[in-house]
Amino acid sequence: MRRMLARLWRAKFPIAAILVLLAVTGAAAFAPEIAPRDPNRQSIIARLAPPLTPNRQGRIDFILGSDGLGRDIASRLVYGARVTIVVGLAAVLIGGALGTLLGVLAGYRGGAAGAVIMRVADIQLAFPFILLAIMVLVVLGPGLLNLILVLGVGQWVTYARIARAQTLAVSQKEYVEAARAIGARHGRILRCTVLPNIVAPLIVVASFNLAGVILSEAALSFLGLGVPPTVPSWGGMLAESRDQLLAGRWWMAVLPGLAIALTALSCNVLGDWLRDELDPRLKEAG
Amino acid sequence: MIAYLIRRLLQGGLVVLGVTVVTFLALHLGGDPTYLYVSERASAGDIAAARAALGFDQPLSVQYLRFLAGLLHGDLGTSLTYKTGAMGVVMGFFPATIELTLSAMLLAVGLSIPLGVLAALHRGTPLDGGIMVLALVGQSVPSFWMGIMFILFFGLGLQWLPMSGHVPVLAPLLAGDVGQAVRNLPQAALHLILPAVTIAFFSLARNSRLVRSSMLEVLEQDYVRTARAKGLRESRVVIGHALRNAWLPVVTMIGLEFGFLLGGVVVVETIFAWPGVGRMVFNAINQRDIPLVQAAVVTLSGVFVGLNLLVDLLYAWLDPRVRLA
Repeated sequence: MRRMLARLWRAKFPIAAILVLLAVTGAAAFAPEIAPRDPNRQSIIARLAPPLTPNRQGRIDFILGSDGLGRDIASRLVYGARVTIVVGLAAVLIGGALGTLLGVLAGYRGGAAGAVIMRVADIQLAFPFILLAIMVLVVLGPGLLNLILVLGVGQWVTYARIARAQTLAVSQKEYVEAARAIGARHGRILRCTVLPNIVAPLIVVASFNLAGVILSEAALSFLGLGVPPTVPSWGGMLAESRDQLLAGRWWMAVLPGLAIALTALSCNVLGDWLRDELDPRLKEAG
Repeated sequence: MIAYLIRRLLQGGLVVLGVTVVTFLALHLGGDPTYLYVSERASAGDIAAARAALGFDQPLSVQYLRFLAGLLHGDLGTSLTYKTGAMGVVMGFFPATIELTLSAMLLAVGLSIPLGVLAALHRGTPLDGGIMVLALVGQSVPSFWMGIMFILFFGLGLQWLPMSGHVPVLAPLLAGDVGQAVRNLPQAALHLILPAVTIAFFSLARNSRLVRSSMLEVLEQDYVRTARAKGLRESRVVIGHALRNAWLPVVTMIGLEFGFLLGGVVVVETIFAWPGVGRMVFNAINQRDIPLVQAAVVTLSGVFVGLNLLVDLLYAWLDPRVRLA
């Protein structure tokens, strides 16, 4: 019984996580088709309608309610998935590519360049990241591109440290030595023998990192440093809900937060599962 | 130990220098920062005058050295909204933030150790599963949303706890008024609960996972088996032998954790109307008070680096292997 529970815990949750992530990605990709209304259409007479409120004709205009400007929460949630997915994936890709490149370089070549790279990494780790992001975004101004750049560049350390450690370990292996012995160039050695062998832990890190980036994006959007207010985003919706909180308009705050939490939770569950699958040694330690 | 201390202090100095370079450069990322300081309707003459007054017409290297010199004197420019020294303004908001982060820290560490140990000892049982699910959820929920939910539930719904505001303890204490601080204490604690729990939750989740895996590793060691074989009581084995060795990764984590807590205060203080550095940063962002944002970032980062150094030294003191390596 206990073992069955354990298996259930291991197998069911990742599948649910994948389904959630697919749903969010689908919502982002097909937002115009899925969303019941225009996310920016305002309706002053239908402001602050609680979920499932029928209008005078008895029809339900807003299944998940409307916000302070009478905009449809459900549609804004669907469109908000776009910011989360685009910023999350782009930032993880930028950070992952940059970090892996620098980390592999530091691990493979070592020397002064490697030392400098790792020192810079130490300095960045000594910074509370969100503060640095706030500083840079205040100077550069908010916006989608700046948000992606700041979050992306901010992530490189995570990947660089793992890539370096893995490269150091892999470089000692016989197959790398064999490649070197038959006269392969550095580029070829890195591409064909080192990279394929360090990719697994990096993927695990990326899925946890995606959760972190999504939470950071939400926090920055909440502070007004994300996309402009006309573009619906989950963090921005939470910021707008603040004024309505004390009046008890719970739906404005509960729903976007749930969306963020579910998405981040799915990334974490997926990361846990990937770690167990790709690196069985970690399974034992839990 | 002395050699280690010197090495770490030098490294710490290097990091602090790096932090100053980054915060300095961040201001110049968007080109000439003068435009951040003047109004949108300023004339070309006004802008040139402001540029000269702020020193932005100097070469970058000169500006950086001036920035460093100012920093050493505790001078980080003048706040645009408060019209006084930015550093002084930040310091004025600091006591409230210290109260909040310290309580959150105590909560996070104090609860994560027993939870992690409990999960490790009951590995594979529903108890373990429950604690780990809670930890996973805690790592996935945005802290500011959790704060909003707490306000809705405990403040607005049940009306058990105050939803916002702050009763100072540290500020009267620093002013030498011990009596006032003691009188404020009960109300202060009541106001602290919701924001502190909100900030602590993420750390609590991550630390209990860390304590659990660290404990699981240690529990398999020979010395734990020996301790059991000697016939020691289980509580003594767990606390005296296993936990003492499982401490170490947790201690390192605590240092890094402060960074997350400090990052978290910006949003959480804003939600709970807590008059600390975090909410001040939020307001400064909205008023585009760049010097104030910069001063806050430099100060918080400095505190963070200092705390990490302290934790590293503590680590070396606890585990001789670290300083010998």
